[in-house]
Amino acid sequence: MRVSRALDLDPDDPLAVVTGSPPSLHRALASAARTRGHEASQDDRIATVRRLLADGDPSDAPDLAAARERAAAVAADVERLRERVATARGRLQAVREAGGEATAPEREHRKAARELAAAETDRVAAEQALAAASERARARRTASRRTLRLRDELSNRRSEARRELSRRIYPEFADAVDRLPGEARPGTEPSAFAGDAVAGHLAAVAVADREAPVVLAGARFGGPAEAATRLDVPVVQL
Amino acid sequence: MLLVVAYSAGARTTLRNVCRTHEDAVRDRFGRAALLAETELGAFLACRLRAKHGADVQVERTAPFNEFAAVRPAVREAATAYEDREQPSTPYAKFAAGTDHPDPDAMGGTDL
Repeated sequence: MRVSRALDLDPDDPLAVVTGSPPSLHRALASAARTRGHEASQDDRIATVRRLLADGDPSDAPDLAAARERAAAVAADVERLRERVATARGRLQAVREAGGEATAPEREHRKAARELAAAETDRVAAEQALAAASERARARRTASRRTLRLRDELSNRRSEARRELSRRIYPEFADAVDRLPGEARPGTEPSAFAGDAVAGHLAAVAVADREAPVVLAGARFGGPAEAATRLDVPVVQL
Repeated sequence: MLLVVAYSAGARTTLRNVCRTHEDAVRDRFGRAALLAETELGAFLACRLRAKHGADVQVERTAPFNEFAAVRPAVREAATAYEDREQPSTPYAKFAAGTDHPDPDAMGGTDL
């Protein structure tokens, strides 16, 4: 990894650098198989899932707490104004019964009733806004569960694809292990590989169809020219 | 009761810890959900979860469901009649068709 970064190579390319800490054999073999034009039966589904993940809905999180606070505030206003209307009505009635001048109490009552009506409209709006925000939050949770499921599926499919591709190229790989330096017993399938992991990595490089140079951080061969010939790939020897 | 539902692994863990610490406030637990007592302590715990996990926590306030008060007789009777049906494999829509029992789409469009 450090070597990859230092040389500005793709850290996700398991065949770019051969060091004392090889990547997983499945990854190296799968990569080699793809350079040879092999495809995995999961490839269509992998492309579909990638597309579904990319299409994900990036809507903003609704501020539910603010919507709740507003709904509570306008509900409190409505209660307060209802009491004011009731009080104003009481005063107005008392003035009328006493035969007094009712203009001011009438105005006060009308004003309170107008304010109450406005507050009740605000409350309906606030409750609808809260309901809409709650619904958006629920939809986001559903989308987020779907995203997690898709991510899991993508990871699993890619893993299956790597296993399938590495099995397909294994016989050729096993021959390469036998003819290249290093002590390893490839067995008949990737999970049966035993012995020197670097030998396995070199054999994976050898079976790949690759034009970009491979960086060798180790001295398995007599020199970069011999390495390039036996691995059939341009070599940069560190 | 207060129904608390956790929508993330973190929220679920916090819910579990909160329930363990405040057993008295917990009426029931279901893994990623819990029913808390409708007390200030229950509300406090719900508010803590909201403060920590925001939209990853849903809190609802439940009320006991009295079907005799909340639901018209036809709906209750349809439910009882359906549970008494002769053919267990008959779906409700088919069971109700051609009878006086309410149709499921109509019921779905009617708020309580």
